[in-house]
Amino acid sequence: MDIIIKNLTHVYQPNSPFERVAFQDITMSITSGSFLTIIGHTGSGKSSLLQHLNGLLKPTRGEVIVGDKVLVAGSKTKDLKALRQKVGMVFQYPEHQLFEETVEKDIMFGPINFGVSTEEARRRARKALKLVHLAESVLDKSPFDLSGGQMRRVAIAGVLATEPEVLILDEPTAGLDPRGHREIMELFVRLNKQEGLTVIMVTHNMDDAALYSDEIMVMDHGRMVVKDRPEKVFQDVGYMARLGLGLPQTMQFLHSLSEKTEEDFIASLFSIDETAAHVAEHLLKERDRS
Amino acid sequence: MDKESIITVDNVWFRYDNDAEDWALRDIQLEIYSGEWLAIIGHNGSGKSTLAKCFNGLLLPEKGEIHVQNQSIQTPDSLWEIRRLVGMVFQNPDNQFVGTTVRDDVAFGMENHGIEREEMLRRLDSALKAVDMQEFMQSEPHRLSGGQKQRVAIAGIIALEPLIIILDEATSMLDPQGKKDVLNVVRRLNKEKGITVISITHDLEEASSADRMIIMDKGQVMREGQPSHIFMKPEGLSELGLDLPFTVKLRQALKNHGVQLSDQAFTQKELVNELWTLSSKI
Amino acid sequence: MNIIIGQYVPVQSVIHRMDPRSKLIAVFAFVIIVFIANNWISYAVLVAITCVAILLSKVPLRFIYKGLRPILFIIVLTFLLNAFFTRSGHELFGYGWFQLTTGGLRQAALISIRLLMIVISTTLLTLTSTPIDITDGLEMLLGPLKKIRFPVHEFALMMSISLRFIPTLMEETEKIMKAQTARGVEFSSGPLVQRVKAILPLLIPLFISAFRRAEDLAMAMEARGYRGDEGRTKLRVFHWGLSDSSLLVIIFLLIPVLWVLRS
Repeated sequence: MDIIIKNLTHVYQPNSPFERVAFQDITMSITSGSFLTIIGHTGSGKSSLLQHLNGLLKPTRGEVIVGDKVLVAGSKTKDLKALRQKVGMVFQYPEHQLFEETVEKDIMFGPINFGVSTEEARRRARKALKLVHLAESVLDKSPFDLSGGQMRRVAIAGVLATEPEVLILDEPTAGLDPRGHREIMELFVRLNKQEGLTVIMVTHNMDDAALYSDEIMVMDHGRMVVKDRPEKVFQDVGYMARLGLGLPQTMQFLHSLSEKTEEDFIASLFSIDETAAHVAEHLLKERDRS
Repeated sequence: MDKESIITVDNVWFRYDNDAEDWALRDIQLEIYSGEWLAIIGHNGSGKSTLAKCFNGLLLPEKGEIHVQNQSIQTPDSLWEIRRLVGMVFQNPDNQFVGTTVRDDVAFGMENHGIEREEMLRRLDSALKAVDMQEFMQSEPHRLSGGQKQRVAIAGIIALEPLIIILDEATSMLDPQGKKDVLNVVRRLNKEKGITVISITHDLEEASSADRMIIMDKGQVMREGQPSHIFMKPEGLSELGLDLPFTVKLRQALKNHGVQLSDQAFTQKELVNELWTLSSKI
Repeated sequence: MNIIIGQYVPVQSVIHRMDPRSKLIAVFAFVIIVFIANNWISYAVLVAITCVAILLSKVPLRFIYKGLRPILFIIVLTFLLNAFFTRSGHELFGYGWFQLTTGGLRQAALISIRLLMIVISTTLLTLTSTPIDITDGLEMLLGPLKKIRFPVHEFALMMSISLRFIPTLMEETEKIMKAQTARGVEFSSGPLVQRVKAILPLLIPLFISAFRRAEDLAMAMEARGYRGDEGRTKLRVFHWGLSDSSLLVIIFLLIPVLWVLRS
């Protein structure tokens, strides 16, 4: 399902001494099945924007259209439940939402809330568990007896079990060690490419943004600054620096190399292998020239 | 570098459950040298955090001894002095913030150690200055970012004039800016005040810039030495649950694509320099 | 998220600057002294003192009203109950059990005024002193109880840590509510039974997180040398001034004055 956002603005506590603009005048669309990453410094409005996609926050101005559901300012939108089933959200440190006696019950919690039968919910729990690469033996355990990384996967399984079409991820790798980080990202890529889920991710990790996204949207102080393919977004190195944002490690390296050698090594490359190939090619060309 | 020992760990064994055979620390033999920056890495469950908590006696080993400046952590009377000398910053910025304001929190440690009020006021100022948080003296914790809270924690520690600061995954819950700010502050303290730093971390880039590094696995020290030496021999590291730093991976990839590189360059700067030398020779 | 704990209104006034200890003692004494008065003259004195206090505090009246609002219902109820169920003096109006008498009216008015003054004086306390100042003031005042092994310091520390964590816990509650709402929980609609059941996915994670915080905090406190009250110094101090002594003198002078004025 496509998502269309038109002139969306959100203001916290309007007409009060605490009034604060989260973001303003955002217009964009997210194609079904794509992988979009939203980056921006803390406070740029990213999380507030995400929460409009499943109706947790209501627009102050403008509208959000998710599939055929229209959310517009001032209207009392009923039946947000149906929307929340279609748009699953994984919050930061999602393991903090676990509460049931067993892993199985917790994963079944979402589907049952959305009207799924107990039998079907159980089946989905098993399926979701497989997706997050956890063994069936954890189903009977208390979620609180698991390690932090396992708990996070249980929480994600709980969202996947509702069988959403869109998956929203708010800093999904926060606090994970390098291996856990990689495994979780590989899971989301799988869900996007193999299961066709639209993925919208907020992250501070430029490498993830560059490697996995179809498009990156940059937010700065509540405004959308650019939305484009990763290669285009990271091209203007100086601009990224002015926004207070980093670069993928590979590009940072190429930038340093260019500065030192006073030659142009800069390219929008994000994987280590591509970067190495690029540098090698450049050096070999030079050698051939001389 | 001064090779004087500031902490000695002798044949330390520790387990959480006194009956189980599941030892969290097995026969750890270790020295920490004054003024160094030591990184301790390892996958979750390797024992690194357990070891960190033994340095200031939060956990007491079942077997073996630990001495901080020749005082044993097993002696109850020395424990309080040891906790002044060995400060610890924990992972969760909220769950170590005790005071209702920044000022109150920095004072907490000093109050515990019975420091006179006049002296407290002096140290408050200089401690907050050292972490760049002077303007936030009256701020309440829920108005601060994670990085700011961690810096306040550091201020609270240096107000006690410690010799050692332990960072127990102190940056793993922070955003990139917060991480940078915290590490810069600690680096300054290490370089300018000679404070020994023990950093328990997952961040390989951070570990790479340490003077010395230890890899732990299943409660034991598996590797010890300079980060560059350890990472340049990547065999067996993935079995220990570890990844490799960016430059090491890049160097390997460059070699695979035919670039003649030595085994010397470790940091990004060194790698860039080596490539520059190569390209200018051409 | 903008949270204001307690009712403290930051204003520059002589009452704000006063030592919280004197304010605590004054309010405590006042609440008891209020019961000495039993006629219009004595009440007039008390009301006058309360009004002077309100003026001196420079707190806008709407904040006083906000502090009264929760109790307004009880005051009105008290007034009505006393008015209609006290029999004394002339009867003005009657209907079965309900009888409005002059004596009843008088009693109702006096008792309601008494209640009002008690609430206003305690509200003034919280309007002019921060929660942490009140906690510290209480800790100092109750200090002598340490001699009988009463854990004064521990209670005060518990209070201040609770105060510090209220905004943090409120933010966490909001986060958990959002996460569970995203999983289809409806907190504010549906039958009562359903709404009550919805509390579990909110309360359990909150409790677990609170216990974890407590564990972490205890460890951090130990690492920072905490070992109870033994050998502890204090950063926060209060300065007892002329206005504080004056306040206590006035309050305690009220006792003989009211005693004389009462009928």
